[in-house]
Amino acid sequence: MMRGLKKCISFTAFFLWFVASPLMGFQATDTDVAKSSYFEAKIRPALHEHCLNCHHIGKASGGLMLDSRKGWQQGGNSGPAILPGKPDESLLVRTIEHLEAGLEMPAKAPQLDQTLIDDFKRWIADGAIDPREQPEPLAAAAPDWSKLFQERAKWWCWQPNLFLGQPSKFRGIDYWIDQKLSESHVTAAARAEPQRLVRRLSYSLRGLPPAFSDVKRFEKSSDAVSWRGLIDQYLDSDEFAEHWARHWMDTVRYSETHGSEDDAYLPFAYRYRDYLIAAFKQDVPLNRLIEEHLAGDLIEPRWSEEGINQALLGLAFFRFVEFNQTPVDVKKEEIVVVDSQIDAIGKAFQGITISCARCHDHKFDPISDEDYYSLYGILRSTRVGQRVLDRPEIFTQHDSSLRELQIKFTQAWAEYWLDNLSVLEHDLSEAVVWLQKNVKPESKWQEIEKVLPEGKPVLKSVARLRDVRDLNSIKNLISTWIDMSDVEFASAWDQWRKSVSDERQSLPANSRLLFDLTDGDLTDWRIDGAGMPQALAANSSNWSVGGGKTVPFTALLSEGYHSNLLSDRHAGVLRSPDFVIDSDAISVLCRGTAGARVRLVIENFQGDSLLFNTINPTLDSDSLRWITMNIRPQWKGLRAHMEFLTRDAKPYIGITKDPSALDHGDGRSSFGVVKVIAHAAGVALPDRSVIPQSLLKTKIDNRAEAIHAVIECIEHSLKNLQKREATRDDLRWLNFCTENNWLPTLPMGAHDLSLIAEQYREIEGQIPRPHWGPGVYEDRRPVNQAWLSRGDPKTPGKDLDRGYLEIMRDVSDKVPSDVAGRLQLAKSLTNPRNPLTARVYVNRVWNWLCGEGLVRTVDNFGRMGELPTHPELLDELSAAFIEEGWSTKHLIRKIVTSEAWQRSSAATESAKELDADNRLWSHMRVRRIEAEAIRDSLLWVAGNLKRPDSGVGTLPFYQAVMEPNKQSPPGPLDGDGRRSIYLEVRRNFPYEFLLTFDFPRPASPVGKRNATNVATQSLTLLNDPLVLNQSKIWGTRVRSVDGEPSERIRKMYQDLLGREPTDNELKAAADLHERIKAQEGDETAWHVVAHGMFNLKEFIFLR
Amino acid sequence: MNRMSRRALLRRCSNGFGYMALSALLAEYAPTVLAEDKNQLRNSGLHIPATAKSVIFLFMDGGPSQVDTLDPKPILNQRHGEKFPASMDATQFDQNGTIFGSPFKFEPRGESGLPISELFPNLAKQADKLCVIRSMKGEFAEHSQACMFLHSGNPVQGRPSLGSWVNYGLGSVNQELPGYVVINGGLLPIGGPENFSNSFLPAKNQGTFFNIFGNQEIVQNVKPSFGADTQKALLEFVRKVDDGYASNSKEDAGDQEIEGAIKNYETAVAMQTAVPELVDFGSESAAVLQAYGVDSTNPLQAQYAKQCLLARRLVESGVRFVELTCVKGIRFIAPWDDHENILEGHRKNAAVVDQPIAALISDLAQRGLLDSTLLVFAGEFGRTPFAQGSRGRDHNPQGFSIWMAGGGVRGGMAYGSTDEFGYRAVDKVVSMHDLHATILHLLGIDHERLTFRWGGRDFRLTDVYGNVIEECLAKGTA
Repeated sequence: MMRGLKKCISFTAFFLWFVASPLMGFQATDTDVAKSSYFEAKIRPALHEHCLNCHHIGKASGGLMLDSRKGWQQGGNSGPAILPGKPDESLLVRTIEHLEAGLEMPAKAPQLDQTLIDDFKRWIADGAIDPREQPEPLAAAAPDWSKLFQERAKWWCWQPNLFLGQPSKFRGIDYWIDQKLSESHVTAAARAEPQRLVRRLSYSLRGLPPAFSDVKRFEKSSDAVSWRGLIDQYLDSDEFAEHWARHWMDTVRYSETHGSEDDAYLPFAYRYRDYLIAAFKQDVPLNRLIEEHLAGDLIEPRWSEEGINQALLGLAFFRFVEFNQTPVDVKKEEIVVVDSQIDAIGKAFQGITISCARCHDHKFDPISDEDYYSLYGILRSTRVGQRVLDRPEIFTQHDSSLRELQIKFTQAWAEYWLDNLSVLEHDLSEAVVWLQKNVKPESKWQEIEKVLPEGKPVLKSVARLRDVRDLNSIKNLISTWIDMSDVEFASAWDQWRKSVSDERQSLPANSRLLFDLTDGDLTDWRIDGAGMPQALAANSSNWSVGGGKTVPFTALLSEGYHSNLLSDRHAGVLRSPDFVIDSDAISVLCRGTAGARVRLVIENFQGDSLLFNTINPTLDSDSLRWITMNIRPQWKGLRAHMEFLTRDAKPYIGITKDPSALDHGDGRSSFGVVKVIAHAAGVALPDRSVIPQSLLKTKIDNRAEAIHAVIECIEHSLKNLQKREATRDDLRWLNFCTENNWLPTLPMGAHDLSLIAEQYREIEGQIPRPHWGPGVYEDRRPVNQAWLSRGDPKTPGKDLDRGYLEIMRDVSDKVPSDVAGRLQLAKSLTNPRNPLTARVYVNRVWNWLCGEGLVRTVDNFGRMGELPTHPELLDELSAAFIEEGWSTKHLIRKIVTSEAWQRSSAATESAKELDADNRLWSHMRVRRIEAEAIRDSLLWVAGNLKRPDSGVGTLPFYQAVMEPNKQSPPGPLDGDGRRSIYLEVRRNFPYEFLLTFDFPRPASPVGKRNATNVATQSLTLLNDPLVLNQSKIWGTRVRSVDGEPSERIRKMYQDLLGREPTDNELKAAADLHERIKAQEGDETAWHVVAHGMFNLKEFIFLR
Repeated sequence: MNRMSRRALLRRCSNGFGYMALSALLAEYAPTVLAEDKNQLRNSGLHIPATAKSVIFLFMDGGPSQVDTLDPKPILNQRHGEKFPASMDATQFDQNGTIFGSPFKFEPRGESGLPISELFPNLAKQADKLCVIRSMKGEFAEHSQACMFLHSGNPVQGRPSLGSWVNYGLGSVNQELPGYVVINGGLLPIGGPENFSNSFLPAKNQGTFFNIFGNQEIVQNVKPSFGADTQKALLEFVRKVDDGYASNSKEDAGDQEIEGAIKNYETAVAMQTAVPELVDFGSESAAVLQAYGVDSTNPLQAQYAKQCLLARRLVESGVRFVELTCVKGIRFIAPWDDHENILEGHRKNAAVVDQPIAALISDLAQRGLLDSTLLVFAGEFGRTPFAQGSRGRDHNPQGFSIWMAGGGVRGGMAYGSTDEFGYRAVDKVVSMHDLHATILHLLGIDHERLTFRWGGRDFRLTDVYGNVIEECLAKGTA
């Protein structure tokens, strides 16, 4: 294995020290030599690796130093550490054997291998020969990585599955469980009572109480057939899919906001939630699901009935990150985001802690920091963006008819104006005369505007152009027309035409063309979206289309890329290749409508507030305009790219108080871009000249001639347009005339034109609004990440090739240089020979069904995790899972049909005595139901749970206004009757009700939730307004049923607990009802009874 | 003691995980005592002899300016308006102006002569009790990360808050009150309630909000849903049925969970009484109310005065960790965040907190509680010695001041220093981790030994960093 230079240096230092330091002045006999070489070979390295970091002279944890003979002879706070010749009495041995409570050594690390413990014992038994007179220095760094790697690779989780490809060896769950039980002389518990089984099954599969009718049916006939029937009934339900989708959401840290100051919103995250629910409903194979999560855009699409590519929704996985809105250091921020992604990939799909290797090689697992940065490169080369989920053709099916109509329109338009140019000539002359008479050279547009006569559009336009800021040549042309006397006119004209210089000829000083899309190509650019044109604007007959308006054609396009060549319903993103920022400013010649944006994205950073607002401007002009972005000094030298987006393609939205607002609007928005330049601060940008070259060549003597020359130029260009031979000059010029009302696109009374425009609008109106989802994109120029010393971006080392972990090399393909590597990563996770993927998932499913995993550390299979209680069983289940098509439902069926799963929670005497921890699975444990199951049951039982459900989330009900400005407004108390999975998950303002019952925060994957038992839970069930509200609904409903109170109470027990009440219980409830009724009336009495029922422990515990 | 019996022991601790941490923490210290007397442990068996039993954290939201409060730099006034001569880091707004002299006068205060600016006339009288650290250095120049870093030692969400760690380590004294209370004045640190998150630590260690502003219930779910008689009847019903369920489940594995849940109702009911009593100031003398400023004509000061008084009452009742957030009404977020006008903004902020905090110190001292209560006054960062625009100051994590008082810290001293302009901490630099380590130390906890294994890693508040600032500890405790 090739390692970086850093490793070599530290190893050499270690080696040199090793050779030079010890044994001075030590007179040795032969046996002593043998013994001391035993010390050198076994003990000294072990001390360095496991002990000296804490027990050296500088630190002396617990007062103990093991860096010299004297150190352990003196011992620490608990006395001498070693008694030579007496290993079993030596404290050191007792601590490493974990026989001293609270002194298990090494601290905060797994127990040492037995062989090493034996080495210590032997060394001590032999007299504990230790040549070290003086405290020895600490080794500079870890020992040789490749040796460590090999050592660590022996841990069970990295070994191949014992049963993969060998179904003949499968024995079934109960075989393995029963075998160990009998070996250990532990008697298994009996099968649980039918009522408890059904309740256990219903909550495990659906997170809701069972229907009492199901319980009764099963009580009558509780054989294997009925059991299977019940299981299938539940597995087929929507409620199953919702409950299990939520398990998965724990592991991918699902959240709809990004935290930081504004808790910015991740648009359309809820579609991912619905996608998961559908996936669990359809039992999409796990390998497919994982591939969709990592590379859904790079594999075969998976279309839903509604025409949504489900595979793309998996990509939202990359987007559930917290990020800081206004980082001063953007690269540091990228590290935080990528680290969260690596942490999630490792824990969610592999049950390992890869992100521990960010600052140094993993402390316990065979994962190096080089592995970490190889993986980092893949994520760094992945760009953030919203994805269009629909079939592409629904946006483009009308393209050719629209294009035809556009050509037709252009011809008719040119013809119309060729016939009507004399009108324009008249209007222009009239305008000049009026302006000469009525305005002074220093008059401003605002003053002129007030005195202009009505109904003279050309006059108005000429008057305004005299004052425009970004068209110097035009401004000067008009001034020449109006302000020059007849005598000076010829020379003034001459002066004017010589003064015209524009960006066609030159760029400003100290500037560099970053991207030129005038007529350049789009190499390495990416166009992503819904029907956006895949090429630059052609030279003629291309209009910019704003389809929602009376006049769909808004500008005649001459150059650049425009998203709305056919429709502004065509939406998406244009992304530039990377470049390194090296200038004070970047300016972009672009246009855009309805919330479109141009963004400079630095090191993938997505925020757009404060520091970043200047590089995320909204485009609000349909005409091309220069927009300047000032670069902050700290951004120089960083990697960046440009993005041009239509409104809904924005991947990030600031404070969002009304999430449903995203679904409003007509989806129309557009942008266009011509060029991007990098330049020094304060540079004047070139004039965007529109004057045709032919006008500049003409010598003119008087005003009338000048106006006529302009008309001639227009005529010339219109003729070229008619012949479909218009040059860029012609188009710019004509577009100028159109934008300024000299040649209106749809002049009054032009019926032919109106007719075509009408037809166009009708067809264009059929283009649907796209469905968006959060996702990522491939980077056209993927890059590696350099190794960073202790994770610090200021100290980069060598570049590391993109790829997955070294230890997974047998299941990984090499990442080609032209792709980021997400697909290769996905495939290495779903390779059947990946030793972790199936085991981790199977173990999680077991945990979700049983309350503990076969490996109890469900999110960590590494060295710091626990061993499986039944390794063969785990392997058999995992192998079968793979070979039977990675089916979750099948796996669940297998587990819940086992005898082991159906056992009672009453432990047998032998189990209590010999296996109190239930590592042999002789019985079930009592467990509390999850937060969502509690809340959902409150709604289900009261009868106001909304079914079926999907779509935009509902904000949770916040009781307290803790922070009026930043906090999301409270949603409805009952969450609109929706299951908890449909409530929004906001990082900064989680829902207290669910949190109280251990709803996990979305900071990191959680495969196994906490299940705490605290007084605030009791307070919540007693006093939370939701519980009060649900009690009222339930109580009122119960009361509306005819019958005796005892009948109603019976029904309440059936609905809430799936059983009949005992006589005592019946009486207790009836007494409560009577007592309250006497004081507060019958209705309140039923509310209180309902409230009391919700506070029963049996409601929140499963047996 | 072998593994099995230790586990059995932990199971016997009905209070769950809080004790588990404590026992794990103490086992090393005195394993034999553990089995015998839990109470003794709770009171004495810490890593280090504790000088503080509880903490009141006065969070100065937005970042007060060190050079206008606790770190006098006359050179700024002498060279006011000149170009800042040293290198400047990127700031939040990048509108860095010239050297900006403090508009506030400093004077030596108390016997110690510790300089405090005119912003804090009342606090200045307590100077001999304050231990000012002038060499704080943060790592994040933006509010949300800096706030999370100050609160949890980590810039992003996902780690337990300081108050959660303290409670996890020490457990509760008063079972009827949460151990970690946030007295919310209407403004949360930027980043929201996650600043007070227990994260992966057991839920009981989460900060509980006492929302002492606006017209709302102060602690949610403490007000009973029903009148006393009705609730009593309801609870009796629940108890009766639950007892049946519990005895029915007696043979079950995990039955103690059910027992625990039943017991929780007793605590819950007690909390219903305990909390309203705490926020009822009826038993306080007029003199005390006046000293804090509860009846101040400045409504913001009056509210902060209530917060400070409540903090004292909570500490008296055994709450381990109390944090006060700032009052709403000066700015819409982060009130000390004076980017535009230091003079006006800081004056308003100081006027709100000065008298109540000074009163809190002397009240605690009078009641003999100051020695066991650690006060920490800190923002998430400081401010630039050069101007933002012409009258404001931008964020500056490179060097800033905080103070501690009581709980075994040395009073009347300034520790560490910034450079000549008050920009960067240069001498005896104190990191956030050092501050955390020191706070834990004062509570008797070795920050390196208070750990929690989660997701395969041992986490601690100070990550892999942190050194106790020995010089700030009162004599005889170091």
